[in-house]
Amino acid sequence: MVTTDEKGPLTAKKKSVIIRSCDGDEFLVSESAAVLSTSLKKILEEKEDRLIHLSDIDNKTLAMVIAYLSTHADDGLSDDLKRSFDQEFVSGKEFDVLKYLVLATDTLQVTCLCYTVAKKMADIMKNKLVEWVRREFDIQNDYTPEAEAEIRRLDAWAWDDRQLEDD
Amino acid sequence: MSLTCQRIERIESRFDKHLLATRPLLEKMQRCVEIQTTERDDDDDGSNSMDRISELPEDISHHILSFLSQKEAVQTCVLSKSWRYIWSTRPKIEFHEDCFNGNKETFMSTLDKTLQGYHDQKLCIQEFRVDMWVDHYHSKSISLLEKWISRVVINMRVKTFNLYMLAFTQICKLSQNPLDKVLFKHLQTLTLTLVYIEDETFEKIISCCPLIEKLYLNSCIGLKTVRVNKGCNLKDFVWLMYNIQKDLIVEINAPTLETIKIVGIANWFHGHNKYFPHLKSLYTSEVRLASWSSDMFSSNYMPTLENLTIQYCYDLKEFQLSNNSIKHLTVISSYEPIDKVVIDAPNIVKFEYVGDIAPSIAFATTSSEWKSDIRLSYDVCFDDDASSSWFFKLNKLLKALNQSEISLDISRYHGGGRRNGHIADNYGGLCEVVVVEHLKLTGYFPSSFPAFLNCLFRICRPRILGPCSYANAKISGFRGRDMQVTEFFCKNLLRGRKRRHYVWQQDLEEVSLECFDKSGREWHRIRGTTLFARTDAASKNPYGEQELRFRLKWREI
Repeated sequence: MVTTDEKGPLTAKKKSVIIRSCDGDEFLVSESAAVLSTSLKKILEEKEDRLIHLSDIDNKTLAMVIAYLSTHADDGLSDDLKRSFDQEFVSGKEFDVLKYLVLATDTLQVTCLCYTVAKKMADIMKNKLVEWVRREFDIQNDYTPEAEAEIRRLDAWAWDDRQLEDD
Repeated sequence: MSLTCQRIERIESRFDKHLLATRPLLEKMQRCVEIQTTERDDDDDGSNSMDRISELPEDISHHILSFLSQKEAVQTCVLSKSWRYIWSTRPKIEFHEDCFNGNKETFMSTLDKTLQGYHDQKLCIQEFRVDMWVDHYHSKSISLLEKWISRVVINMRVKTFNLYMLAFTQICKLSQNPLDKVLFKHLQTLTLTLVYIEDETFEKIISCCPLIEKLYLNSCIGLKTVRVNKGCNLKDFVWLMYNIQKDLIVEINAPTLETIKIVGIANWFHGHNKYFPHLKSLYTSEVRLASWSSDMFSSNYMPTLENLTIQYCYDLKEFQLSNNSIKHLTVISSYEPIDKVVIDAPNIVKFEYVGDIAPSIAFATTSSEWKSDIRLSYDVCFDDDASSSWFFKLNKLLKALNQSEISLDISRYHGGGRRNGHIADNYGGLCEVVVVEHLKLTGYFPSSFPAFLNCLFRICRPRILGPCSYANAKISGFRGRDMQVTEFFCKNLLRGRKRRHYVWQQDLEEVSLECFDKSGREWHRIRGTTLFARTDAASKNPYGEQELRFRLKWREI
């Protein structure tokens, strides 16, 4: 690992960047981790500034994204280990947490994390009753019962033969 | 590091709730992330303005919905008004006729209506998948498909196109073959299953798809010659043909390929290109390779090949494999074993062989540690001569694999007769004992087992014998025989070792018994006496079936 750090001027010795969340917390991140985000990479290419302020990502979400980036920038970890890290990273997280994560990864353009989180959110929705999803995701049902029945009738095939579980 | 940290706090204490899940890597992370922080209360963040999934930007909602099936996606329309149409604009169409409970009319009208919606709004579809039943009497579904294929592919810029036509008869085909007329400008992945296409259509597809990278053809009847020429960007190519057809030809010349899988009785001609500089994985099954030279898999032609599987390729009775990049090599052959094979793969990690008789293989010196996994069947031995030569060939193979950690699995499901196990004197002198890491024996007949084992232990000595099943209750059939074999081991390895019925028992220094703990998913040592105590108290035994193995220490020879 030391040898890779010493190679070439571009991957020079542990250059770091400070990233500030919308609530003012600052994170020191290695440049190799930061550039995994396409947006951060662009910012770093454009200006010399070592302090990046992100006005729409809060400290908790940013800490998670940085944890992800740092892990994936670590050459000492195998791909298998990174994959299992990804799995653990999204498991057991509340829906709100995932929502902020997916928004942050969209802003920062971290494609692989965006994929992992979106997939996790879809997995949560899979095989669930509409009522369950509404409750879990805090979605206000603004249909009248008649309107809802009418919509269901339009695509009746999608509600045929359901084997859904309600937890 | 010029940062003046007022207070560097460990992430753990602040964000523990969210980061607990990542604990195994937390330490690594802490080295990278340092937090400079001001005092702030984290508990009041629930008041943040965004608290509903409905407020996610549309492209993120689409991204999430793209992981759902069509049915699940449609169901989201009743969540709330803002969800009403999100599903109908997601960049993915995935219709399986199975979901319509045999109602073909509904299936077709729904498909038509949905596609019309995309068409009217000029929306793009990245992924298109239709699985449908087609038969002679239902030409409507075919004309519907014909109507949409070109629109979908051209106007909607499909990147992944997947068509699965379940036909009642094999001669069902698209009458005008709309695939023929389409320029697949944006297409990257094409999967056709049971779709009737002809050679010209295939050539057209290949030449009209500048971006195509993945091509999967499964049982595409009508296609007799699969020719992939240079000049395309194909990376993955899979051709499967389970129907037996005559004179099928596969000719692949694209040097961009990374994965090739060919399954079916076809002649694979090498055409004008034999050189695949990017090929990582090659899988051939039942393919005739007569036109290739015997060094086709060498580094000269496939310098990046890592995984190679050769299954039932009887043209390849003799070949040389000299390849530095190969990591996994699998050879599967049944009644006709490969004959003279020379393997020089210094970086091999695993070699697998499945067949009846041990093949004749020579291995050049390897630099790293590697494993070999040999699965044979003893069923082919009908008399003493066959048995004798079977053991001799196995011994030769084991000697050739001596540099690796060997796992040997021998099965036998037909019993009786004189097939007990025999090594003739003219072979016997040539045999030498090879250490085998794992030995697994299944399907044996207790009556013939001792003779078989006498022969086997003359040529190899396992460090670990098993896993084998053990139960207290009497079980009949194959499983029951396995249990009796386990009984035999218990009797002759543990209890009666000092009685020495068999020659090999003299060389056995130490035996320990291990039992598989299903909850902990690991082997742990148990005492033989506990096992017997369980056996003896069979009626009260709560343990039932278990997996056992024996760890053996042999005297140095």
